[in-house]
Order: sequence, then C-alpha cells, then structure tokens
Amino acid sequence: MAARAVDQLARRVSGHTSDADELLRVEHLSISFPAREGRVAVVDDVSFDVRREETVGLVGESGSGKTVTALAIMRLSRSPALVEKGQIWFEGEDLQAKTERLMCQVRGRSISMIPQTPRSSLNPLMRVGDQIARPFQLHQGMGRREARQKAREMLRQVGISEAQRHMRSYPHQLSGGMSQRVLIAMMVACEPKLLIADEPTTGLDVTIQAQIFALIKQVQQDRRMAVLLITHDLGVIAELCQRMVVMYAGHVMETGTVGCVFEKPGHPYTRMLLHSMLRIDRTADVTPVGRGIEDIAYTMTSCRFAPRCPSVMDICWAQKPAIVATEPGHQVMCHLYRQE
Amino acid sequence: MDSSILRIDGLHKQFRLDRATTVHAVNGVDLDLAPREAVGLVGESGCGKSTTARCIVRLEQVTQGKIFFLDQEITAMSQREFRPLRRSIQMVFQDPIMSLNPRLSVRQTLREPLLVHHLASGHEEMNARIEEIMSLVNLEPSLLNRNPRQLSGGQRQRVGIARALVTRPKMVVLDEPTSSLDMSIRIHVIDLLIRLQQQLGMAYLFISHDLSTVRNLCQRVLVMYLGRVVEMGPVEAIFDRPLHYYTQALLSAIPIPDPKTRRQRIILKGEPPSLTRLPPGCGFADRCEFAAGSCKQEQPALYDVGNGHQVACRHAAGLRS
Repeated sequence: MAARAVDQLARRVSGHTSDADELLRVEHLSISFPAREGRVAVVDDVSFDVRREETVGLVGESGSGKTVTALAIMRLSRSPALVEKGQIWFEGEDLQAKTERLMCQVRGRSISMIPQTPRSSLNPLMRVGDQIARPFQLHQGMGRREARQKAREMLRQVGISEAQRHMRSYPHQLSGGMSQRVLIAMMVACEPKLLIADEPTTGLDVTIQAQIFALIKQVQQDRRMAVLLITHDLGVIAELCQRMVVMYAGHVMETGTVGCVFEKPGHPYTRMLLHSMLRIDRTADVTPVGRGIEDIAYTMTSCRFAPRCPSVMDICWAQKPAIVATEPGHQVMCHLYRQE
Repeated sequence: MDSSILRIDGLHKQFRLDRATTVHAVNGVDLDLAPREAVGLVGESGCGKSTTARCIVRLEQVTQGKIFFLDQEITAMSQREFRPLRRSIQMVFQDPIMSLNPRLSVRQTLREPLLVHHLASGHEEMNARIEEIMSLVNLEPSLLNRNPRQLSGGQRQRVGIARALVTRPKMVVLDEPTSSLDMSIRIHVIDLLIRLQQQLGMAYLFISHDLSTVRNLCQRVLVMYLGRVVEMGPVEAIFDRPLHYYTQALLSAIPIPDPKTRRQRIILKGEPPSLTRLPPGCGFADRCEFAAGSCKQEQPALYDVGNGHQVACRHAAGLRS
C-alpha cells in the first residue's frame, strides 16, 4: 500500500497523467511456480502501468518474469503457473474478474500479443490469408469474403509484397521476418488499444529486426496503440520506448522515463545492465561490475539482487526494500535510497 | 613467405542438397590472420561465416581453395597428418550444452584433449594442467566433478573455453561463444576472452553477429554477405567509416543503448537472395541503393582504400578516392 501511495504521489508531482490516460495497470501481481522448496514466487509483487498510446519497455534477463507477467495480463497463464494475488486493470476493468468468455473478446480486440517465436505461433496447417482473416470474422462479424479482402489489405500494410500470392502460402513457406510480419498483421487487425510485443525479434537478424521495429512503430502511430515491449536489449528500449520497467528475478527494480533511467540509473542492477551493454559506436571498458551469478534465488524474501550486488549491505539480506521515488516519475526499489 | 598463422586462399564450400540443388555457402573467401591477432568475422545468418570457421578446423571438407595453418597446407592433409596440428588450432562452439558431452564430468571433458595429444605424463601432471586451466577461466575446482547439466550457461561456456585452451593452442576459432548468454553474464565471458588472449598470446577468429562485441574484442573485422567478404579492415575504420552500403545498413540497424544518440537508420528492402541460386554479379545489388546496371553482371573485386581497409564495391571505393 505504501508503494501505491508513493506511486500516486510521484504521479501527482510529475503531473503529466490523469486516470483518463491510464490504459493498463498491473497491481501487486504475484505468480508462483512449483519448485523443490514448495511454490516460489517467480513474479513477486509487480506493479506498473501503461498509458494510452505510450510505449513502455519491460526489460530484464532470462528468468526475470517478463513473459510470465505478459501472459498473466492476457490471462493466458497455465498450470503450473498460478496467479497468487494482484489485479490487472484494463480501461478501469479488472481482467481477473472477467469470465473466460468475456476475456475472449478482450484478446485480439482490445489487447493483442506478438509472441516470441512467430514460426511456432502460426497454425502450420492453415493458409496465411485465412489466419489473418480470422480476427475479422471472430471480432467484427465479417463474412469470409470481406474478411479475406481485409486480410489482403493487412498483408500489404505490413509490407509483404505479392500479398495476393502470400494469402495462399503456408507458414513454412515464409522466412522468419515474413512470419513475424504476418503475426503483426493478425495482431493489429482489430486495432487493439494495447499491443504486447514479447521479444518480437528473437532469432531474427539485425537488419530484419530493424524492419520489424520500424513496422511496429508505424502501425502503432497509425492505429494509436499503446505498446508494452518486452526485451532484454537496452538499445531497443532507448530507441522505441518512453518509459521503462526494469525487472530482475521477478521483482521490479526500477521504473521511470527512459531518459531519466539511462541518465541516472538508480538501481545497482540497472547500472550493471547499462555497463554490460557494449556499443558499436565506441570501444568501452569491458571490466564487469558485480558478480556473474546466474542462479536466481526465487526463495529470497529480501532483495533478490543481493547475491550479485556490488553495493550490497547487511539490510539487503534481511528485508525487501521499499519503493522510493528518486525524482518525479522515477522509482527505485533499493535500500540505498532508504528514507530515514 | 609471411608471418601469418592462418592463410585462406579462395575458399569455396558447397553443399549438395539433391541432384538439382546446391547451396553455395562460401564463395571465394581470402583471409590472413597474424599471430596474436583477433579478427572478427561478422554477417547475418546464411552469410557463410560459420561454414568458413568449420572449414578452417576441418569440420567440413572444402570444395575449392586452400587453407594454410603455420605455413602448412591443411586442406590436402589426411586426418593422421593433421592430428599433430589439431592441438594448435581449437574451437569454441556456440551452444555449450550441445557441444559438451552430457555423460562426461568437467574433469573428464578437460582430460580428453590431454590424453589424445599425449600432453601430460602421469596423473599429477594431468591434474596440475586441469587445475591450472580451471583457474585461468575462473572456475571453482569444486565444479570438476559436475556434469554439464549441473552447470549454469556461463559456467558451461567457460568449460568449453577451458577445453579449447587446455592444449595451449596458437589459434582459437570462436563461433558465437557469447550469444546464448544474458547480457550481464556475457560481459564476464568477453572480459575473460580478452584477458586470456593477452595472457596466452593466441590468435582469435571470432565469428559473431554481435557487432558490439566484435568492436570491443577484435583488432580487425571482415564483413560477409552471401558467402563473400564485402568489406574488411581495422575495427575503427569499419565501425566509424564503413564504405559498403551493406556494412552501413548493418551498423545502422543496431540499436545504441543511449536515448540521446539519434542516428540515421538505413532500412534495407527485402531479404538476401537464395544461396541455391546466386546472382551473377554483386550479391547485394538487389537491395543496394546505389546499384547500377554493371553491378548485376560483374562480381566486384576487393578494392584497397588504404590502411588495410578493403571494400568489394566499385562505387564505394570510387567515392573514397
């Protein structure tokens, strides 16, 4: 609750938002998985929000809980994952309280998700054109002919040449970049208000990645969507996002505008990540900061970054830090910013 | 004749898929590697960089061309003739879990090369060599009895590096050794590779699509496209003054983690042509802004623009001079 109060205070201070702006709010979300030690919280008390037409980056490494969080927003969490607590508000409605039937109307129409692996997300036995036509038939009640017409139009909009021919293609006949374009076409077909893109360029080459991000940016502007972009690449965040949420081991370590976080990273983990990102435009000091431990201590109830932290203190092992606003709109969860 | 440790002359590698289809993976690559030098081989999937690497360590038979290692032609050697050289040229693979034997402990994995090459006499010397290499790659000796699946990704890759270095090679081919690792772990491995190279004085051929790592690890870089080298030169020249339109596009596509840096991005049209039907002229002509009619007919040679910077594009070379 204290976190919420700080959050609201920070917003009031920064002054550039009202509740009407808010599209998605994730509140105190915890998701557990079974482990040897019993159920462990792989996502632990995660809160953040996304405003209309905004691009928010959710950044973190393997096991940080980014994808699990995204799936929970779509209400696609499946056993053994279990949403223990928390609310997910979308346009003022609690998605957790919706029936599955109502949720089906949200998915694809109000919120869409581009998954990590385009190849395995397309139906291999269905022609591309028919797959893109589906959302029009399901959500907008179009007939087959009209839906196919729209599907062809969508293919053209996502930059697939010879749209007519590719309407009849099967997914295995497409390259990775083209599969991702097809998925984007499907996902934005019904003009959702929020598009969740989960590492949408994994496995694609950088020049194709640049094409895909340019496309996402373009459809976002054309359709005035908000985008929640999940990535481990701080370069992508710097380029595309207005705000960012840094996750580590299921905890939100830092949130803020991209400018603030890059300029004044508050959390030692964010600093470590920024330091680890080598750049093509200059040669850097590659001496690592902090410890390179990969096992994540999901059972820890204090700060889960403590085992790797270069600035670790006694209290870090004992107690989970409170969320502190270091400046308006910039919050850090770290004992370094303990308020006396 | 020269001081190079590795020299490649006109390397070609083709794979026959069936009677009608041949994949032209590598189409005429020349390369010189000096002792103690770190050279990056970069490009996107299908450009032939991994195939080139595998030809060098004789995991593939070359179709055409010659490879000289320590002034001996290794392409013509039999397995038996090559064996004494094998310890001097080692490889680190991309996927550490696939390239480590799941049934061997770390100790057994590291012992194998020493046994094969008769590099240690007796148990004590063997164990001393293994412990030495473990400490060089910053692994706890307590991990020696573990199996690969009981290790984390970063630890596995360190074992892969240790296995390559335990024979004290003069040259190591590294095929995307950091691409399976998370960012904050990757930097530990990169730092380790740089320190080991300086300490042990090896040459590196570093295969990667991650250009930011290449910039920080290598002195020289070769950019490949469709099985050919399109541009090569010192790292600063290639990254700061790229001449080939493909190199420019490739570099501009990589996001820079700094919201204050704004750059002009080149978005390439389409995708590379199929390796089964190579275009007669410049392989990049279909996607190039500056392509003229002659580009599609004639294969451009590598033009030297000074300081070891070469580019396989007449227009780019002309612009420079």
